[in-house]
Amino acid sequence: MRKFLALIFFIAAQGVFAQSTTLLIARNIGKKVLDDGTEIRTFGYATKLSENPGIPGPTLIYEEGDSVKIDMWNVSQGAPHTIHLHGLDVDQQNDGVPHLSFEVEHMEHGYYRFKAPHPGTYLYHCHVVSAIHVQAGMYGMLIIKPKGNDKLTWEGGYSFSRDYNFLLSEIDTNWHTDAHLLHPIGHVKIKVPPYDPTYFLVNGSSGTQLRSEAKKVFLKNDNTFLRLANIGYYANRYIFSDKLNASVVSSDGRPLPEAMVSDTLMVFPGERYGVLVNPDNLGDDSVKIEYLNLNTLSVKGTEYMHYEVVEELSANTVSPESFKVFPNPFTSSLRLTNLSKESIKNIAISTTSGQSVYSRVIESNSSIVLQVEHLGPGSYILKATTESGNEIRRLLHKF
Amino acid sequence: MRIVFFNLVLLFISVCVSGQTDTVSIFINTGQHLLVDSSTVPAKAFNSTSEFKLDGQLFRFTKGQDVILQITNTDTIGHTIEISEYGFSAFIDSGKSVNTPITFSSKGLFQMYSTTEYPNQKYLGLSGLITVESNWDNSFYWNIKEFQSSYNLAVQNGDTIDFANYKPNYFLINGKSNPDIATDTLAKIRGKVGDTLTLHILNSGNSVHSLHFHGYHFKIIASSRTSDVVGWIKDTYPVYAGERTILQMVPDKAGEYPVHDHNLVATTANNYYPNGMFITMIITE
Repeated sequence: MRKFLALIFFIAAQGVFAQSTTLLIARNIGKKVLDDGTEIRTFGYATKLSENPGIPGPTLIYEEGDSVKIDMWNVSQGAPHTIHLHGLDVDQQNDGVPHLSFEVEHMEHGYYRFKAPHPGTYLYHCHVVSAIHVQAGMYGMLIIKPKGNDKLTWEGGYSFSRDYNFLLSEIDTNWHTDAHLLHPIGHVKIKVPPYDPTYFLVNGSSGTQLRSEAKKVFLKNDNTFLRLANIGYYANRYIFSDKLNASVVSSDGRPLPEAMVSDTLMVFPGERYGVLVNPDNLGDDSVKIEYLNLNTLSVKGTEYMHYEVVEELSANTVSPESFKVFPNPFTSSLRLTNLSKESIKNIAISTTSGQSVYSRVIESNSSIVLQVEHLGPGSYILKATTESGNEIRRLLHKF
Repeated sequence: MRIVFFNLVLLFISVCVSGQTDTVSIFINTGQHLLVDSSTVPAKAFNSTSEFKLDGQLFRFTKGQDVILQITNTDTIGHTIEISEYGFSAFIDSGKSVNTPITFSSKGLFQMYSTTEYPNQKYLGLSGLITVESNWDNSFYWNIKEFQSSYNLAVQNGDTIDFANYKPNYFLINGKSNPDIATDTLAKIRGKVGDTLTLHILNSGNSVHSLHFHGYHFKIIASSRTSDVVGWIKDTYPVYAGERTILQMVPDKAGEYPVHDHNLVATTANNYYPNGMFITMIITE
């Protein structure tokens, strides 16, 4: 009887104190190919040992109230690392500042715990020799969504049908040499080079890389929510077409007292903004993003976020349930079963921010298996193309 | 209690510096400013004595206070000193003093600065904080700026400088960088859980400084740049060049947390990390 009660208590406790654990592996052997083919060394966070730590790191998504545990495993053979939970206002022990909490040495695990606070957009990044480690690539976006409704800005806030994340940064290749990345370890002064970036990134891509990515899709007369964050050392100036009817509704994880209608928004290092767009015109266009030097406020780089405004997603899609995807949530593979008479010609998977992560040209009338073990935790959009059009599924890779 | 007593003493000093006349002495001084890496740069400052010291340059007054500002110029050039919001302007020739009356009729945070060779003399440090309040409890003051050391030398030598090519290499709060700033009682935020802590910031430099607070969000109480942001709750706030802003927070937990420029280049000094615009705040139960 006592064992039975203990079992009941254990099960109940699992429900009440459900904890989500995220593994982030800190690496210093990343490689990144820039827009012009230049390859640089990077640091970063990966979710698997076999994975190249990307820039940015995986987007971490939680629900308000979640008890979160991040297991940071340092497999860098180099400097200690930490995770600063930027904007989450965690207790000092979990704040990730080396001399005020703890740092994680090579082959050690460090555990960061917090209860997901206000829905909003946050960041995470290493705070060890932060000027170098952040430029090296040790950062990512962290999103808290309202409990039980991921199409709402916050409880009582704005609803939206689609959302995209934009994490902006810059690359100065001089900072990515071993002479600077492999800095001395310990309480010593670290020399950094002058900062003069020449690559300007949107979710890790720039120039032709950005232009080759799928356009963002906004629905006419419907809210799309844009989460904008700046982890670079320059300011970002977004210039929205007035046809987008952009309004700024939140910043740094808090609603603004009043939505601010604006076609221009400056986002400075460490800041985050929530912007709703509600276009009233169909067609293709782009959001212009300028990168400004903070000492002169002169524009040093420009990128564009391309989008198309459509009536609604179903306008160019094949009939519902023309294929099935299993399992979803998935871990390493997906089985796609074709239920229609048309053959599927192309499969593309992208992140919710539009970054292409999988593409395959096929000719299939039955079922196929997609090996997607390289994908990290998070939400993805799968697009299957037939002669009749596209059909979209939202996928979830479980932590 | 100690803070209250300290503030009362300062209030007494500020009101009665020269007895019945409510005269407040301000000196325009020049000197070599010692930086965190032990190098020095030519700089200038407003001080309450003739001894040069580039610090927060804070002068406190109470609302409605009638004052005669007795400004003495120990520099080798004349300076026109202004407090724009009060319409205050006075020219003080080299080696001279002037007495100019002023009534501090409205509360707030103001900038007193030199318009001479604008902005070069202000850049060298002649940009002070004027605070007009009735209560200075739990108030902290940051006069933030940055230096490009070669520009300090150029201005000192009368050479031309071009802020379109500005590449500062020292980043200062009240004239100091991390870790020296930790001992500055005006800057170091200390308080208790539940206290209302107010931070007054003047960016007297030429760059934008995007200040990120760990541990707590704050409310924007005032900004001289735009009223749009008043009432916003944030953890990161970009203070534009010349901007005066007042931020307020009520800490909900104890701890020691950093506040720093999130342009992480500004957490260095002459290209060495960690220095620059980084300080911690200490909150106790």
